[in-house]
Amino acid sequence: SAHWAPGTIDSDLGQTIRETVFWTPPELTAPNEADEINSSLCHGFIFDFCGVEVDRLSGAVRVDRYVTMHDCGRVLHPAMVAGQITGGFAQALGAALFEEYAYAPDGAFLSGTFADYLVPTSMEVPEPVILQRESPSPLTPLGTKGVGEGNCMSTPVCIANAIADAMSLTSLDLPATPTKLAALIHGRQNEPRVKS
Amino acid sequence: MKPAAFDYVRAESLDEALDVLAAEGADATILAGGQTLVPMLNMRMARPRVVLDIMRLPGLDRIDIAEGAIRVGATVRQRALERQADLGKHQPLLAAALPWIGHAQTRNRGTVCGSVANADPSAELPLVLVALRGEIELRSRRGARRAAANAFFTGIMSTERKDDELIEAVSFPTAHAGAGYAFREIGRRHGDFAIVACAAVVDTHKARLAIGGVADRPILRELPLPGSADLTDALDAFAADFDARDDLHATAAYRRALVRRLGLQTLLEAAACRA
Repeated sequence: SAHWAPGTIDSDLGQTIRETVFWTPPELTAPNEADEINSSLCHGFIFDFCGVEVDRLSGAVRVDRYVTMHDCGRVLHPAMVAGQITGGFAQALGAALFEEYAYAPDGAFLSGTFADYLVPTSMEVPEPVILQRESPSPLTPLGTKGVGEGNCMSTPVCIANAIADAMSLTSLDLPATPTKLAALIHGRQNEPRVKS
Repeated sequence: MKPAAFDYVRAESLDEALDVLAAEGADATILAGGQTLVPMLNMRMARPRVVLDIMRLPGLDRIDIAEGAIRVGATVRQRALERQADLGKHQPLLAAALPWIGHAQTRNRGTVCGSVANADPSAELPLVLVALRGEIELRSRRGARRAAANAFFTGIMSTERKDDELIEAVSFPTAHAGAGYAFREIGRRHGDFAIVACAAVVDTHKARLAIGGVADRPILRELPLPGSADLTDALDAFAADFDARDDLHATAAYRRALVRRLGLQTLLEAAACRA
């Protein structure tokens, strides 16, 4: 454990070179009187748009093309940035179309295994079109910002908005499952008479 | 998880396999491709005393196309049938349905007869067998018999197979001249169980539609020809007759609505495919 805490090495052994530096950006000040702080030195930006198709027969959603533009400041490693964005996008698509903590009316948990809690596979996740715009942060030493969490916030909303546009909806609860959308398309009056 | 303890018998001959089945009956479970059984063993949802591995039995790995039928032996993998030369010509319904079974990886291991024996209500092969009015060949120490597909599937995961019987082969009738065949399936994700699956056969005079995934077994019904004014009402009545259930992935109402909508599309496609 000495590699974590060089200060614990016995001084008789002779130490390797070490240096301790503290750096605090001046913008991250102590809490004010209302106990508020600026928790983030800088913020990345995202702009998403997408096109979807809703199958009239089944209510299934197909994402035709998804474009996500990111500004995470100076990009240090393009492949890692793309990996972060794609991963966030895949998770978010799951939230939008598949994943659900479902409970029965009596409170029984219905989606307790991955057989029922549906996570998208590679077959369900299209390749997003990822665009970059670098506007380096003036506040970080390298001009970098953060990247990775963003699509979890933007993608479910973007997909929901696209579905709402396709179907002229004013609200939509996610996940947008085929059963839900088919009921909205066809309405209750189209159901065949049910055997009692 | 690990299976509960079991005895494992790898039969080297049909006689040996039948002897085990005669002696053990319901205490023995047949292992073919294992794509259903092995997970069940691991989850301890199945706890047989004896697992009887039939995959080394000679002569059961044949696909024979003769006398109007495609006869598939007990150890034929789904992938082997899928890759059978000219399958689309001999029986388009099989060629259309096979790619929907699970994933390519599971089809590499799972067997055709195993899926029939398992009788999952949403499985494609039992549905196609029922739609085509195929047959199942059963063998035991007591002899051999043939069962018609329409009566063979009796409920969820249950068939007419007796405990001492082995499915030796299944036969799918080949395509008739002048008939059109179509298969459609809807599931949540690639490779998932069918929410509704439809298999349609239409010729000049008659149409029939088999539905999987809704009732506890595949259900076949003759219907008016596509183009007939009576078809819509007949499909409505067919859908309404299903004892469908709500589950997490689809409501009963949604399933019945798909029987009507997807069933119609499948019938129209089969009609358009008439040779």
